[in-house]
Amino acid sequence: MSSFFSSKGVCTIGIELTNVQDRSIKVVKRNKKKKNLYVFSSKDTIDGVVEIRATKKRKKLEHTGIELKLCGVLESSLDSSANIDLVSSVKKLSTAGTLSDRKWQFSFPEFNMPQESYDGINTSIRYYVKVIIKRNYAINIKQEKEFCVRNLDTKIPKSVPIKMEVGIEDFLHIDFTFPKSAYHLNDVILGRINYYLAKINLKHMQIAIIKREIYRASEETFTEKQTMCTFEVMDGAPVKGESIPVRFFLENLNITPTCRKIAKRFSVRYYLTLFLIDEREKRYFKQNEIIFYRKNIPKIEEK
Amino acid sequence: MSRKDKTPKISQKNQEQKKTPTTQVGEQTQLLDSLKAAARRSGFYLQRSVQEGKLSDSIKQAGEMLNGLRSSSLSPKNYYDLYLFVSDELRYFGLLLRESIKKEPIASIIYRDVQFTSRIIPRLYLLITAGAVVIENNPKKTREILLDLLEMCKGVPHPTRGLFLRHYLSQMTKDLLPDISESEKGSKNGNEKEIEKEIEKEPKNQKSNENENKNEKKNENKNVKIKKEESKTENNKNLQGNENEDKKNNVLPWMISINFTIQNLIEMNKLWIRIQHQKLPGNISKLERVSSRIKLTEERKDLCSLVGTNLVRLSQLDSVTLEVYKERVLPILLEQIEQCGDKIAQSYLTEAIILVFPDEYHIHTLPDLFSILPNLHQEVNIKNIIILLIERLINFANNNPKSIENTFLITQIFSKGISSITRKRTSLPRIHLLSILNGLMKLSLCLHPQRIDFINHMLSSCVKSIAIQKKLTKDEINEILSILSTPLDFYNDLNILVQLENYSMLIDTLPNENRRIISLKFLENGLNTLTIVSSPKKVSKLLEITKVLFLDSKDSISENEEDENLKSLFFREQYTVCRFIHLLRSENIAKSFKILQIIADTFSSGGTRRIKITIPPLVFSALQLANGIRQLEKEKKKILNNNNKENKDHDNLEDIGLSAKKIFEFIHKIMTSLTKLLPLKSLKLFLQCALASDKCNFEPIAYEFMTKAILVYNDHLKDPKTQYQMINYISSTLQTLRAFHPDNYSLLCNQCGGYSAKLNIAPHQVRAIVTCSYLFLSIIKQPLNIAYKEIKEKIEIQDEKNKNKKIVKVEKVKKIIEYKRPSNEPVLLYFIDVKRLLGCISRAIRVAGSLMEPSLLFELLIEILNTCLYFFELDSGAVNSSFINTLLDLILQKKSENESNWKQLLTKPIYNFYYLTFKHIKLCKKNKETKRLFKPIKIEKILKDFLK
Repeated sequence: MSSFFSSKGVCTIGIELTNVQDRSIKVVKRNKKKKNLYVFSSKDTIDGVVEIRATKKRKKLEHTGIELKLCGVLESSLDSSANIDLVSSVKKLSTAGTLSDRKWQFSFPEFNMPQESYDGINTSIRYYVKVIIKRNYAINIKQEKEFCVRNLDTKIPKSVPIKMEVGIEDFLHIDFTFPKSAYHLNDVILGRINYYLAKINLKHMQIAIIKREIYRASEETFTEKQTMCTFEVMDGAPVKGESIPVRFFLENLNITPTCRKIAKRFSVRYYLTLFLIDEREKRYFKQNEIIFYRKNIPKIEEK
Repeated sequence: MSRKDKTPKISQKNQEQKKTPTTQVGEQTQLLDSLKAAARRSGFYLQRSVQEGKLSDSIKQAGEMLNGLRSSSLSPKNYYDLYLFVSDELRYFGLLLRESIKKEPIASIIYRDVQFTSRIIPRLYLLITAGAVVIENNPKKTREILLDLLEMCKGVPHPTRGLFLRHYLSQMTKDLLPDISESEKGSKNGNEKEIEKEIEKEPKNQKSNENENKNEKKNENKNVKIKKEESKTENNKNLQGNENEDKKNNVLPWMISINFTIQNLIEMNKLWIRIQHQKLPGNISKLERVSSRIKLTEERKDLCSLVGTNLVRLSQLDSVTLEVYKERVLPILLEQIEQCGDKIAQSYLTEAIILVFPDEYHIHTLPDLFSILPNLHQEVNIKNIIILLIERLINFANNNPKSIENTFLITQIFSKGISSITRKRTSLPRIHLLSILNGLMKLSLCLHPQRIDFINHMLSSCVKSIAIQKKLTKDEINEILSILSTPLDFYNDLNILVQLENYSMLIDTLPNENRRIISLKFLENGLNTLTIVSSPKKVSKLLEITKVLFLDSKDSISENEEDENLKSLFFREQYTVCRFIHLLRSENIAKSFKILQIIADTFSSGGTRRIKITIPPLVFSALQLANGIRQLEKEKKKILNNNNKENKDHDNLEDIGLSAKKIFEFIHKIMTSLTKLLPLKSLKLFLQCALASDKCNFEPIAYEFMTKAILVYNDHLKDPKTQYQMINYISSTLQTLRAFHPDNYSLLCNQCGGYSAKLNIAPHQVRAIVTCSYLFLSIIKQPLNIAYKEIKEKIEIQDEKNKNKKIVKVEKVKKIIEYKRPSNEPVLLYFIDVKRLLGCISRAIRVAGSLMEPSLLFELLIEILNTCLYFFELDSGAVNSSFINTLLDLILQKKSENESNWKQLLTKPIYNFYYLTFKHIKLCKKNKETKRLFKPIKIEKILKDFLK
């Protein structure tokens, strides 16, 4: 923000990423505006051009050096003190001197970015290329170009069948079976619900996918729950011995791959929750973690 | 063979609305209106999105519209209303899907996209709509999609909503179900092996599915099950159109349709049953609970056609041939019916199967149908089901005669089936069993009327079923009456009916009054059809069946019964019996006689009030027979004479030892019981018998009958008027008898005269004596040749010498006198005794003379004059002209004695009588032929008197 202002006052800094014509695009909202970000994966080479133009030709601008920094940052509104660089690399564009119109080409070859970009409620992981014009007396002039990281999971996470049992002695005995616990983001959750005993008059059953952002600040742990979707799988009361199919398409949901303990303090976890609602609107639920991984990168990712 | 398009419905509709309080109805319509309005709104947006071609928007709008169907508060009827509205609107959505599938023929996309909808009800409706479009677009996917839809619909176990959802499924897919085409049909025989393979395969799958359920209960083999399900769901997931898999599964496409429809039917049935078992809210009173249960049942019945539609669909599939139906369809349906254990569903579905599928199929699957009936819920009305089946079969048999092979097998199956039902279902009401047996009887009559043994067997089953100690109800009685009437109305031939050994046993189970009704009906049937029963055995059987009419029993109406209706009924019965016995006769005399004896035996124990009515016709019947025998004997004799007395073919009658004589003896026997009871009637009957036996020339018998008649007169008649009447009868009968020896004849004449003279009332006495006088001059009033021949035959005496003599007195030897009357042809004189004749006349005049009443005296004198004139005209010498003249003088004298008030005394008829008599004499005097005879009669005085 400040860089934008300063650049307007003193100079303009343009950062362009090159060789991006085939890249996928991720649409994000920044300052209530939609913005298209190019999508990179880890080990991609990030090429680009930086162009600086001094706007006020009469006034000379002294600087103590110009740097180009590529970094992935874990940011959290819960812990404003620390933005943690997950990865970073700095290139010196210029030593101290006077600012003049200039163009640089840059390249970060096969850059390692193991963590995907993430836009959470309180916490996010962002990647950008940043130009910093350092100054002695004044605030550094900064300009950044954000991009998005999407990594295909080459190694599919270990999947185990899920089996959840819900039981209230002599009243209810239901189990849920899902053959997998790991799903890719466009996957279909298939499963069955089997009823052995249902004396409670059930009315509906839903499944929900709940996301938990867990951020551990120095002493506290913050957990933010978000229901990604609910999906009704049953209407009416089942009868003993019946089994009800569940088929749930994950596509179009705003879900991300599961991630754990990034920088030892941030995790995103997903849970498959089943709600049973009885006639008196009483809810029974049971949940189980499921793991999401990325199998493909969509050409345009809107959410 | 017509396949009905209509879904069978459970009757008893329209009751629901009466029961629902008006307020509730109001709430319901309000709710329905608001839901409809909402649906209409979304429907509008949906149409707009459809027009704009926006698929995802329209999915959203359609989902929105379908939300109304999530309502739990609507009554099933209103829900149906809403359902119709919404499903109609969904057509627009279908249009869009069709459009988009044309543009982008990746079927799976629309099929997937609709599944993003988070609410299950809208989702599944959309899924079905999409599925139908996909199948339409690519029939290869039929099996895959149908199976998937069936599976996914399991997500709605809510009874009403699930039922409608599945109904929608069935509606949307009805035109898409692959069926056997006409050309395939022809080549089907070639494919039979393949079919068999498929058949072998499929039921196994079916079983394994069910086993799964069982396993689930046991919590065993879970892993195995999960794996199976994985593969199943995996299968569903692969909607990308795996052609290979398709081909593998797609052996016979029409099997898919059948399986799909049956499966859907089974699931719908389960849901339908579940409506009944919905839990009611806990906060209502017992009474409300009961009424809401009733309401639920009613509502449920309204929904039956949703389930039945599937059966209709099955029946409409050409691929459901008899073979397929028998091997593949019916067993599963029956298993389902048996398992579901719900009375309404069981009876509805069973009846629907019977109604929907062709009768021909039923004929070939009867044992299967019957196998489940005993196991149905105890409250299922088995009777209705069986009767329905029977009616259908009868109808079929009537419309397609000779199309049923081995008809007896069918009834055998029925019979076995019914007996196993009665064994297993102890609660089967007796009335139902009776109705069933009645139906079965009708069926049997329709299929093989000649098998009387079977009808008999069923009658015995009825008897057995009634043997249980319990008073018959009114309905049961009516049913039994109907059972009894069934063969009666069918055969319309008592000869066949009497072969039913158990018929009378069944009648015996009924109360008296009903026994009488059916017995009467029995006889009336005979009378209406004029069925002659000619075998003694049959007759006795017949009498056994209808014995209530002949005999008193413990519960019969007592003799003193005052009730007029009952009395008239009794008389109606007995008169019917009277008419009826005339139908019991044979060409064969011996048999006829045997029959009469049987009837007489039966009648004899019938009590006096019956005998009074029934014996007379029996007597007449016997007389008729006697007459018949007589004729026969005569003919035989003639033949005998003509054939030079060849003894060859001599007379069956004598071989049997039967002759008219025996019959008269028989009559005599049955008459004896009657004399005391009914003197007057028996007297007349005796006279009748005397006449008949006289005709047969059985003098001793005729004599016996006459004496009997006189005896009855003597012993039993006290009323003067009756006495007068009867003595007249006796003497006039006697006068016509011709078989008597003169001695016997004159003996009887004496008796008549004696009794006449004893009459108490003088005019009676006079007239009776006058009548008696005719006895002493008896002529045969027939043309001479006939009369002569007859007499000749009778007494075999010929008197050629006296042939032309005018008068010959009959003395001790019986002789035939032929004499020629002056006025007419010659006649034969049978008996003459002038002395006694004159004695009678004189006595009559004497008695009359003692009368105080001049007019009566006058009248009697004229009567006597007429009689005398008759004798005079016969010219028999009994009455001569001087006698007549004396009488005329006497009349004139009596007249002149009362000259003063003559005109007052003489009534017009008497005067006319007098005048005509006088005129007759005058005419005779002028007539050529009689002139000579009448010459000595003097009528001048009378003439003078008349001229005065």
